[in-house]
Amino acid sequence: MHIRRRIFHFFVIGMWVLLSSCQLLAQETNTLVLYSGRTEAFMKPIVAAFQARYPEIQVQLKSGKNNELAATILEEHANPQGDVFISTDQLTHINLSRQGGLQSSVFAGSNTLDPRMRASDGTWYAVTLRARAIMYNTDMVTADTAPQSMFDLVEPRWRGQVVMADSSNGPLQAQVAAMLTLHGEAVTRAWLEGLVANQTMFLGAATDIRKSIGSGEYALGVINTYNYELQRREADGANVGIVYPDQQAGQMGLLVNTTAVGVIRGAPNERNAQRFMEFLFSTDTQRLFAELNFEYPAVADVGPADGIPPLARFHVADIDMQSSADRVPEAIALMQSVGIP
Amino acid sequence: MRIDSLQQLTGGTRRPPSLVWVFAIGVAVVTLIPAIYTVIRALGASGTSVLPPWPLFLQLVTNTVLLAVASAILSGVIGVTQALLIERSQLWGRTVWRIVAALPLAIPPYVLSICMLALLRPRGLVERWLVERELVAFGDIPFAAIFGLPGSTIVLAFCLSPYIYLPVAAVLRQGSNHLSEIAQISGASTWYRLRHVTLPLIAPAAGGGMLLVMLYALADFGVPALLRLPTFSTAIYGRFTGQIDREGAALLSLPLIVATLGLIVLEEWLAGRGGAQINRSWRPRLVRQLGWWQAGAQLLLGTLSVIALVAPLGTLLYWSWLPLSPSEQASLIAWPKLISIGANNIAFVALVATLTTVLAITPALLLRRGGKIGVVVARLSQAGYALPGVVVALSIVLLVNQGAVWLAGGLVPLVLAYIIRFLPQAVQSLDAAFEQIAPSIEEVGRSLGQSALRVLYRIVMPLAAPGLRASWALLFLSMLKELPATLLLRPAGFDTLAVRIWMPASDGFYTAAAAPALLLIVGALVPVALVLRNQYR
Repeated sequence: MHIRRRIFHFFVIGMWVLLSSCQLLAQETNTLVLYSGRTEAFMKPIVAAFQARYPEIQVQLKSGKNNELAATILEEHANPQGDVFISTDQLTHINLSRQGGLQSSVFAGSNTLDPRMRASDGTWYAVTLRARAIMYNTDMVTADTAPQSMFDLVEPRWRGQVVMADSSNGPLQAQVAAMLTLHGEAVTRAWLEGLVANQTMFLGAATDIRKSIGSGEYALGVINTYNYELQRREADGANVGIVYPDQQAGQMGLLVNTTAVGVIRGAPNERNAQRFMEFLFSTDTQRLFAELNFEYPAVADVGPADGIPPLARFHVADIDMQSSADRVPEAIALMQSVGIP
Repeated sequence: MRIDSLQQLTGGTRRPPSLVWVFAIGVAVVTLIPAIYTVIRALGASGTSVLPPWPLFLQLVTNTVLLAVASAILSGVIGVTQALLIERSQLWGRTVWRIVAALPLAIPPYVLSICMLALLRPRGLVERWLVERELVAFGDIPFAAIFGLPGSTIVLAFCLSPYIYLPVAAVLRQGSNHLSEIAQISGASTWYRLRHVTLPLIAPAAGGGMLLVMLYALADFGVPALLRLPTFSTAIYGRFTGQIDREGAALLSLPLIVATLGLIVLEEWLAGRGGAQINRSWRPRLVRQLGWWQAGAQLLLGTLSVIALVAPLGTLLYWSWLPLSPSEQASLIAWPKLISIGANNIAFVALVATLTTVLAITPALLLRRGGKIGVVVARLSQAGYALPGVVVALSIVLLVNQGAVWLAGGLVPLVLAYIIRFLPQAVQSLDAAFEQIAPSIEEVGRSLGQSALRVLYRIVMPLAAPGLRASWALLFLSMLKELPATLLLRPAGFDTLAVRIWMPASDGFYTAAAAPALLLIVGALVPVALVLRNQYR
């Protein structure tokens, strides 16, 4: 009796283990695996639109930080798991492409894109543009006292009141790399040291940063332009203003960064990857980026959302992307060495 | 041949069969190699990998140590107070309070952080409620204090207090009352008895629990990350995710590994001094009449449970009913999808917990039966304690990257991480289960001609079954709540509830985290019930 009960138990447990491992290992056949460095909430509407268009394709989204996913792609090179990699910073893609993590792709319309915003070998394409700007809480800072340059943020009057991203953030890495190419190491280091000495708060998530300015935890901060547009549409904490910095003659100009996309080398679902690339650069999807998330579309004939000042209106910094990409590791090491977490 | 003793007949006391040794050594090697490899890589780190500058490094050390010590002390105070009131006083509703005091086990600290943030951050629910009623203006109350060390300490202490309450309550309930009775007869006051009899009696249990809390706090990632306290865990995570090369993260892990090793040695030393139980025979409990203090005791226990249970559960439920803002809606997951993630998560965790329990059997057997070498082998398999989730993930990535590239991208690295991280916990609780089995029973089995393996299977394992179940339940609980290793190692398309909570919450979309958090708590209640049943069996 006892033995029989035990056999029964083993049987039940065994079946359960078998069934649950089947469930775990169940592989969808028609899938697209998306590695995304973008905030998940911004990526989901795009994925939903893609699924509406291709209901038969099962999209698996893995969100993380740009370099975390780039490292994962390189580590999985013998057994690639992802199909498409989308990041918040084209420098990540330039460097990943150099290390052989991406493969070339061509799709309808790919050769009409601005040559400065795609790799000559087709390993990556810029999806959207945004600029680095200063956002302030209008209850705490007035428009005429707000800092007009990135370099003003180290002034003692902003001590303990500035918030920005930490050294793991793609757009900030791109910003520091760009400043390294524009101003050299000494000036950039002095600026970063000034930020640390000024008790700047460095946070991990962009949404957290904009909300903490809206709520008045910090008076001002460095953001991507669309974060301002999102924040001023919030039900609570919409009391924010924006400065497009460094516009005077002799100043560096607006630092523009781009999100980028590329097909991962050895992508297991190459056909679906191709479809997704094509989908991203379709007019409808580009408009979605512009209207849902207030970014600047990379496709020339799709304009920004209503009320968003076009980039052409600004003095934009002239940056050589290839040499900027070279300096990303240096930018990260520099931030870490001055004490930015 | 002359036989001197029963021991000689059975081939040494309870010497485990060689198969046990082989397995145990295998387990120790698997759990040890990633840790060693991380240290090697860190020492060999070169080029752009740098340690943080001295002031930041010092700040990381201070924050990490203060967080560990402060949460251990605060949770110690909470846990011991609860245990004393519940087990040693004439408390109304004792049975209910027993359950309530253990329930925070089901609430992951990062979930409590999210709720505290939503309630108490500047322009949070509480401040807005107060401002709407014109009781205060924005900024009158310094709500920003929720961030940093105070908030993180409170959250960790309240979530982890069961680690102290449960063992202390067990000692108070089962432990001998003779000393206390003698003291009372000799005319000692209640306070004198508390200080000189009861507290020394529960000190080993409370100390062990507080050390566990310290280890947990040293390793915790979610709470300091959400509450903006830079610690080693968050800094390592930042480097892991922020740059392509892994050496910087390995370098930063070194001090943390050293600190944790120190704590384990301390734990070993404390365990060695373990409580002297003079008499195990049962005597009715001495309970203190509360009189007018009854209301105070109820109020105190009530306040504690409001912070640890009612506040987070209330907030989560409130959010589930709340209409969402458009920006929140994007990160919301439909219930059917969420339930499928939950079911998948529970199946996965149950499997890995089973696997870990099985793997823990052999080292646990060696701990008391394998002599000095056995203790060394068993302790080596506990290297995971020295490695917080972030570091375990890092070490596995480094190793897979170097030696087993074909494993990358699958579930194996994640399973390995869970095993390495939680095996020590399993060995610990299995050891407690095996310890209870009287040596004579096994010796009788051997002397009747059964092989060591057969004695193990027919006698030791069935007797240890309740302990195995309890250990499994604790593993299940810990794995269900695990965050950092899962975040870093999960393959695409594999989601856990913890990840679904973290993704929106780390972006500040708290409401979208409510549904997965509720589901996780419901899932965690089952193992908590198992733990409670084991406690009050």
